[in-house]
Amino acid sequence: MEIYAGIDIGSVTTKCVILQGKSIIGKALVKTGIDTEKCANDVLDMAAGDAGIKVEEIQRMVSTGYGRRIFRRADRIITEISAAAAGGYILCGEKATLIIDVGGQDTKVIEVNGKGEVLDFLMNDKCAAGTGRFLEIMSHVFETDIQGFSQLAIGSESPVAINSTCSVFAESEVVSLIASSARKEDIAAGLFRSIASRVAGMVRQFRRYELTVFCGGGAKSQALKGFIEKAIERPLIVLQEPQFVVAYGAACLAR
Amino acid sequence: MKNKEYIREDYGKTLKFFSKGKDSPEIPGNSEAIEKYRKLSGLKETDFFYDAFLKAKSTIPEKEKKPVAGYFCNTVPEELLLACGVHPVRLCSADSHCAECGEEAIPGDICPMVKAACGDFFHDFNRMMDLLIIPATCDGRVKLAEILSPVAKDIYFIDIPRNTDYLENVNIWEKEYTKFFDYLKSKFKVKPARREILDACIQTNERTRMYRKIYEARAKKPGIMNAFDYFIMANSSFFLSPAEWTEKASLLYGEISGREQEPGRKKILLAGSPVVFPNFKILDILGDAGCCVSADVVCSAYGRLYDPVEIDEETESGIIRALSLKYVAPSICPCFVGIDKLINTVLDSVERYGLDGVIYYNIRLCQVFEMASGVLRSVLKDRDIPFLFLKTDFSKEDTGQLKTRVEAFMEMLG
Repeated sequence: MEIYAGIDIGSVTTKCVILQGKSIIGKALVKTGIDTEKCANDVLDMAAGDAGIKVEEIQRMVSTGYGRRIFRRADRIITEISAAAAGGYILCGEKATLIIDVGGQDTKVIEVNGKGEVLDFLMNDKCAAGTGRFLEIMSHVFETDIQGFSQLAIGSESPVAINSTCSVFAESEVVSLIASSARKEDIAAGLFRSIASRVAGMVRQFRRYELTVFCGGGAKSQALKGFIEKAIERPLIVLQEPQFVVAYGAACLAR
Repeated sequence: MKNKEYIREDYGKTLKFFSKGKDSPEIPGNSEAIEKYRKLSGLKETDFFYDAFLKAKSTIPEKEKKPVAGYFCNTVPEELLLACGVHPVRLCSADSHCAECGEEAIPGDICPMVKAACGDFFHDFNRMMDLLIIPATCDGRVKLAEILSPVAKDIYFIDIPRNTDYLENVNIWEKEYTKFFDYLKSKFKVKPARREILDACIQTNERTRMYRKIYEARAKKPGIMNAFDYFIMANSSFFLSPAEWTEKASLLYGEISGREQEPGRKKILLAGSPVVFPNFKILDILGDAGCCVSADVVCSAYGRLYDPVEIDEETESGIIRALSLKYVAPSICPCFVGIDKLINTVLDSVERYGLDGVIYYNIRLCQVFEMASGVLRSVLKDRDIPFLFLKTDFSKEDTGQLKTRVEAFMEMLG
């Protein structure tokens, strides 16, 4: 059976998924470093190792993500929007109408048709507001990682109102909230809620979000999922290992 | 001291200080940009327009041997200036270097085109112009008129009520244009005959006729003339006389009409904020993503050149009325009331030329353009017309993200 690879070179992490037919036989994730091309090559080697195959056995490779042009071995280059649409659609059992992808550098909401093709999409503005990067910066303020930060937020009963989603200004807002002795659980929950309301605002532009898939690194946060669900009044489907969805979609598009 | 004198005396000193060391008539980077786009052009007859931009404004007074009047926006009737023997120059600038200079006088959070227009004044011959005309179309321009008053030789302000749905306003536009014409006559000490105003209208109508031929040809046959050439041609009408522009554009039309379209290109309509040289950032991004801008409805090309003067009655007031109907009534700028005009214009173009999608370009900090985008988006969505909204300024740091969006949009169109 033919073997395909999808490589998603994101702003924070680089992911690779290897497919044989329709099933995943190998995958790997590394932090995206300064030498992006080396990262892409490394992650490919690691995924091949995971699959127990040689890189030469891969028939076709598709690269995607913000560094997609740097990986010169790719047979095809596609945007992460098309890849997220294909990956999210196929992995959820081919019934999604909308895909939310909260990545390191941007947040996308993608409307798909009955074939998993993009019908329309929205992306956040150029700054870090409402992205994984924002959560990362905020978790540093609380001296924890994103998972710990998410856990903290879940413990809140009354999230504080946070007005700024600019990572620079939110940080100073958070610092002054800490100084005013607000509970840190409530501050964390306030931050998640402010991002969730931005994402929900994008989702509502589409009018058909009955079946919404949530992927990207941001989907690992229970708190973010909960607040988005509350804001759009619909449950979200979170795929297993959501940060691999885009790479999976790229591999599917290599077929 | 009276208010006006405070501005002239005290603020004038500040502005003169800002202008120091910026007296060079050449704006850095512009000639490199011209050569870059000239190289991408596969056409011979575009050379004239690129050359015109190289020399641009600094050579105008010498070449035209006439008084020169600068103006902003698309609502100043050029015909009245031409009839008075004045050479009109539209000053709308989109130069990132000028925008940076303008920030000395205008806060950072203001529309970059307003900042650029201001910075342009610190630079070159703008200050030497005999007259600066500013219409009250957007808030930025209105305040700019006051801020620049100490450095401009003379400023004339045209008040334009912005409800284009309210027909009574036609009378007010007509009155304002008549007042403006009277002002021109007394300032330049001329008494143009009715014939001279008609001649000016004939000149701009000839220009419109030629522009429409080129517009139609490009919309029907994608790829016969790239977007850079097209906007250089359209933008050069800002400072070339209508007669000269029409003559050279007709040569260009001759050259492109013999060309064959590029097969398999998706045809895109560009709507939204004006595209003005040298800020071709949006065109660069679209071009890199393989997107073919076949038609546009922006005020620096279509909005400026597409509408003719249609005179019912050949009296002076009849002509002035016709001018107000040409300049104000059809405006699709979101500064005016009447979002339906923008939507209808977009829908008509998409249908008439069988376009594949619409890209709406929004210069960051132009709030009305951004507000209008949501309505347009929703109308197009209901009609299954693909729509992409792009918001950006003159800076380069978001190029990667914008390219991703445009590439995804092109993938979506298939």
